[in-house]
Amino acid sequence: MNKKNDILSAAAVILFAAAFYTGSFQIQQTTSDVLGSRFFPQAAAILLAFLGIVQIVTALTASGKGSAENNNTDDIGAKKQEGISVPFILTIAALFAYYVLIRLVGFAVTSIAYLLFESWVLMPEEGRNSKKMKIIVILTSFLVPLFLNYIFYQVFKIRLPQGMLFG
Amino acid sequence: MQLLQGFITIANIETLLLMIVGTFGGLVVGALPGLSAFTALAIMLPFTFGMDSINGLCFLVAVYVGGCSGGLISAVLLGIPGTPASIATCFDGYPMAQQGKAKTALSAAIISSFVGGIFGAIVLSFLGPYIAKVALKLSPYDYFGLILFALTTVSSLAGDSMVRGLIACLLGICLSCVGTDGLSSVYRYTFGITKLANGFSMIPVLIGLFAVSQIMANAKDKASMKSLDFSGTNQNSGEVFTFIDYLKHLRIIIPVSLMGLVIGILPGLGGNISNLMAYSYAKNTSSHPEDYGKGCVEGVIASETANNATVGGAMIILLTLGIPGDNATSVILAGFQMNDIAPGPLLFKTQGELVYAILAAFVLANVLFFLMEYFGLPIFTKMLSIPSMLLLPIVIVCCFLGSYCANNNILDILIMVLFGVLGYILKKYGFPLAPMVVGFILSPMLELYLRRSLMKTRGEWLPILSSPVAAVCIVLTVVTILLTIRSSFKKKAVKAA
Repeated sequence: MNKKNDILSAAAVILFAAAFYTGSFQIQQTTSDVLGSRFFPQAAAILLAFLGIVQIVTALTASGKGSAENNNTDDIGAKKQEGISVPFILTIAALFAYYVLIRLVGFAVTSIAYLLFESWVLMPEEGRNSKKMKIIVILTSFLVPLFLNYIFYQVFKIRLPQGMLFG
Repeated sequence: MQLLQGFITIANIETLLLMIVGTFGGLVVGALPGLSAFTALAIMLPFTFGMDSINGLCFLVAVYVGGCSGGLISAVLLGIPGTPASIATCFDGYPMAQQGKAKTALSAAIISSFVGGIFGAIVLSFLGPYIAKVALKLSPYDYFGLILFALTTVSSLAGDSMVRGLIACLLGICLSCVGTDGLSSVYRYTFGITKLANGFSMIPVLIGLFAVSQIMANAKDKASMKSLDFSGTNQNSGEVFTFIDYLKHLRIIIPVSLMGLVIGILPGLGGNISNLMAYSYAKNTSSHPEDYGKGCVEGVIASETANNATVGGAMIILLTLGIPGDNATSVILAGFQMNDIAPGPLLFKTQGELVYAILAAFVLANVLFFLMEYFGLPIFTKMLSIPSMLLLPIVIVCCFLGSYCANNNILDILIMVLFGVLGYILKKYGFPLAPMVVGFILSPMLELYLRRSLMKTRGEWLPILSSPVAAVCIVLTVVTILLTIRSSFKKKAVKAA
């Protein structure tokens, strides 16, 4: 991670802190206790902004291309970021689409569609050409949601969303 | 005696079957690289919605123990840790497998995990009630100090940068402010959305931050979707490592078990740290440190004993103080909340049957995973060969289910996705997620105890320090911050040199 990213993320943190602090004035002020309901969010926002500034100063004063602090051990952070990944974008789009669809057509249908789509997105090229893999994906995509729906309804007596169209 | 009562409570077909399924499920998910004990718990959590509290929580404990122990399989056979808690197991386990001693490494790792887990369980069973008794005498000042110390420890030690850790923690605190203020009952940051009156529900937040963000990362790295290749190692090669062989290494076993337990008790550290620290200890105190990293069985013993002892430590702090020791125990905390039970010192008094059932389940889960891993290894290696592109979408569907079922609220699905995106961005920019989650969970309590303390002292801050426990915690908080800053400067100096 480079200096630019450090400054960018710190700036975002400061902006968030400023918005959060401003938003605290919308909270009704109470007198039931010494600190009141605004104190904690305001204190958190001030500290957050202060730490954002510390990060910017640290990034600016760090010598070389990147500071040692910035080498996060986390696997995502450690991976080399290479442009825009189509499966990544499609995965995020599918997650939001799931929320929209589940309201319309319910859990079972949405989950079947999601599993088919996401498995196809994540499938390596050789898998897409394999008839066996296609059958496995289709079977899994249909059986898993139906099984979950059955278990939750019959065993746990929990009704999963049926959607506006089927509910 | 009470532990025996716990065994009697769980001695029924339903609970035992659930525990077998939970341990097995945890082992399978934990064994898969990229999926951790947390993911196992996130997947299994929805299934507990229809269970009673004892069955549901015993099931989650079994999943947790299985999830923590599953990582050793891929660590030894593939050199890829199934969970971060097994990183150090790779250092010597994989070279042993490559040298034709896979069976020795695996059996040593399984026995070590078992002993570490049982040690943690026994300490938890005997120490838990005493810690709870002490905790009952704590005042709001003391709780404020304890939580402040917990938040600082997590923020300082979870990532490489304390500033980023503290930022993440404060972000969690900010997000926990959304909803109704606990003391004055006024709405904060709800923006007129009535469904936000109770704030963000813990389950979608946890699942989004950890599971969904991880899946987004995996989607970016499409190469990881292929099946795993075991062609380099043969799991049946080498001699079986027995308990007698294991006992020859008491020099390492005793200190690393204690180390794992203490690290588990400290919030935010968990098995991810304990296995590396234990490995480092074993290597530094060894008479033959040059053998480490080349297939030394002591390295495997140290790592696996410590990471499983950590589970007991994490459970101690969860059950006695209600503070989650790591990400996975946060899900168990959510499991408690789903059943309207608040873990903490009162739990031992008001829910004695449940507590001892959980302790008994913890011991039993360790026995179950040992039997399953020792005798069922070929099944797990077979399961590891299932391609991730089939598993990950199913994991996500279970995550959707878990988020929805927590409150029967579809909005929670959107919250889960949004927190997934947030978690991904934070990780990308190097912010650790553990402090954020611990900040999110503990912040309401921190605010409550601070405001209650100040109500008691009529706005004076100094009397808070008059309480010895609070004073010690606040001093420890300052010391932790200073030590982290010092260590950061030292690192920079070494780098510059």
